[in-house]
Amino acid sequence: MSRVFVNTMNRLMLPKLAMPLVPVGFTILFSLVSLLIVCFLCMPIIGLFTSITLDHLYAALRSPHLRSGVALSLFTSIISISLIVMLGTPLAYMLARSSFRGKQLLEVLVDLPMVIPPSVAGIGLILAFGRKGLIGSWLADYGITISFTVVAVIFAQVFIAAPFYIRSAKEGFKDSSKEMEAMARSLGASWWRSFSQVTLPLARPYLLSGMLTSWARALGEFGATIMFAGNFLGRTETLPLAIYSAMNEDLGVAIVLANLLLVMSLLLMATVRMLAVERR
Amino acid sequence: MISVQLKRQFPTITIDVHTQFSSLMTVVAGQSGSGKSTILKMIAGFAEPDDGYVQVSGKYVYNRSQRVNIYPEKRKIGYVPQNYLLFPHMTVFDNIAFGLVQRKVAKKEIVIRVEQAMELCGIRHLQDSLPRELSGGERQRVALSRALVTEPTLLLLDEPFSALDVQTKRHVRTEIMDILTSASIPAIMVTHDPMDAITFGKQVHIMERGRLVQQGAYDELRMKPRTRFVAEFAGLTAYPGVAYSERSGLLHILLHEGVELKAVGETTGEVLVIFDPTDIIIAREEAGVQHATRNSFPMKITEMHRTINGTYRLHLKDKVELQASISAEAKEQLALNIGDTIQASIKAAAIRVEPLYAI
Repeated sequence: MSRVFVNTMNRLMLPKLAMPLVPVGFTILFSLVSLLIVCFLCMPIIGLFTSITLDHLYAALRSPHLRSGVALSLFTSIISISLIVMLGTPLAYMLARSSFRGKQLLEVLVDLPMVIPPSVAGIGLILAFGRKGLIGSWLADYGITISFTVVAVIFAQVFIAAPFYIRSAKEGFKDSSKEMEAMARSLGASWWRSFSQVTLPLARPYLLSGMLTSWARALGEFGATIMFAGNFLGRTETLPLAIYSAMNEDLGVAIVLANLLLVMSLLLMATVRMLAVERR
Repeated sequence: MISVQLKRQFPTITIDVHTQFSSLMTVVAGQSGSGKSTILKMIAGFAEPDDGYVQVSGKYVYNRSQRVNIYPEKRKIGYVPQNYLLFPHMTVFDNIAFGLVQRKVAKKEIVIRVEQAMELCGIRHLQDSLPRELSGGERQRVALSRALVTEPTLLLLDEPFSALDVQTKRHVRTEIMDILTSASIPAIMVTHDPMDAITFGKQVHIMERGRLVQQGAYDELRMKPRTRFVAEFAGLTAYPGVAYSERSGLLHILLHEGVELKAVGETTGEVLVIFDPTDIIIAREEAGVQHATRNSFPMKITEMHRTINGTYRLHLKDKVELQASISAEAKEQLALNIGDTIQASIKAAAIRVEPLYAI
């Protein structure tokens, strides 16, 4: 590489990019490679933002997909995240504090939904809670149907999104240490009071960021939902499913819906970042 | 009066302790891993023994055979941990008030008592600070006032000074002693620092590998140390060996390392050889000079450190390792350097021989 080029790079940006102890050549190489991957990652997002026109907006506002999709997505995801917090917090606490046999296995099971394909989750949910499923057939005897209802939407979201909350909450409970809780006990606090006044406040940033990540994941749930709950306008058609439906009818509406979800996700992730700063 | 019997088996160590802590301040000293912190946790109720009891002023807070196991919050035992464990999300005032709030003390009284406790520990000006804004010494005082304000029947201190730097340590130590004396709450302090035992040491318990091997005032431990660790903790040098009588009347001791020593005494068999490192005489080798010391060995200087009081501490090595003190003047006169071989001597009469105590 010519000296002139290196000098120019140095003057332009390297002082800020420079990594301690890394030679200039590698810094330049790494910067270029990074630029490539960042461009790739940003392109779809830029595409989404730039493709919106006023016509699309008018079409979307008139579209039934938007109204029912936003309402249903908010309604189901809020219920899902509430369920996840209520049911996941005790589990996260137990995973952080006790060391029972088979704990490792349990942790793998809890994390599993994060990595399995949503379509696999969808089939699993059908086989468990569908009309002919393990529990579903038993429920059907009492006249209760889950599949293809709003409950199925919530089931799919809870299944896919719960691990994100449980993981983060577990970290939080590990961080607000056992000893801190014991300290509160020795000062006269009952278990519940030491939990609510010491452990919870200390784990709060972790719980909140887990909640937001989990919520973002629930909002975006597509695969498991479409398989287990189907795609019925006004009943099970959440925003991600609405985008899919709109694609076949009017691409403009799909673009607007997609932008809407994108902004929601961005806001949630930005909040998570801010919480991560508070943690330190 | 605290009386305990604690047994607990861990993979690496078995704790088996049976004793009474009767004086106002008891020091439990031992190396890290000797189980000393664990017995504090058992007394506080954070860890459960396999068997035994804990009795505080006549009342059982734990008794395995009677199935008594009172929750930590009902034991009225104050605890100051090594890392202080101040609640990071609360101000100094709220930290100290925490115990009183839990006990549902009236608000007005809380303010009065917290202010008294802060006054006692000299941290009144810090009441609105957060723990992360405090220095080590200040944190330590907050932790102490937080424990004292609830007026516990017993105070447990786990290595209270280990996180402080040397200078702070020295004056905080005497301050804490004054505070504890004026509060007159019985306390057990766990430490590995001999200085703590010297400062607080009316009653020192020495713990080794899960067991209490010796107890007494620091000076008593120094007079008659039972084990090598006790001797070294008391600032002495000790080696295990085998002793037998010689016709000359002197005791002949073969150390495990292969060195032979001569001493005055009658104890034979497995023994512990003890001497004060200040009794070691350092000399340059001079052929043909006759002297009265019975034990004289050529040893190599491996390290040489200047100490706070101006003397030099020499690390010597031959078959055994040895530390000796020497004045700066003597060091100059003998022109000692690391790597030099010198003659280390000690009189037979300066060596004490005690029967070896089996742990």
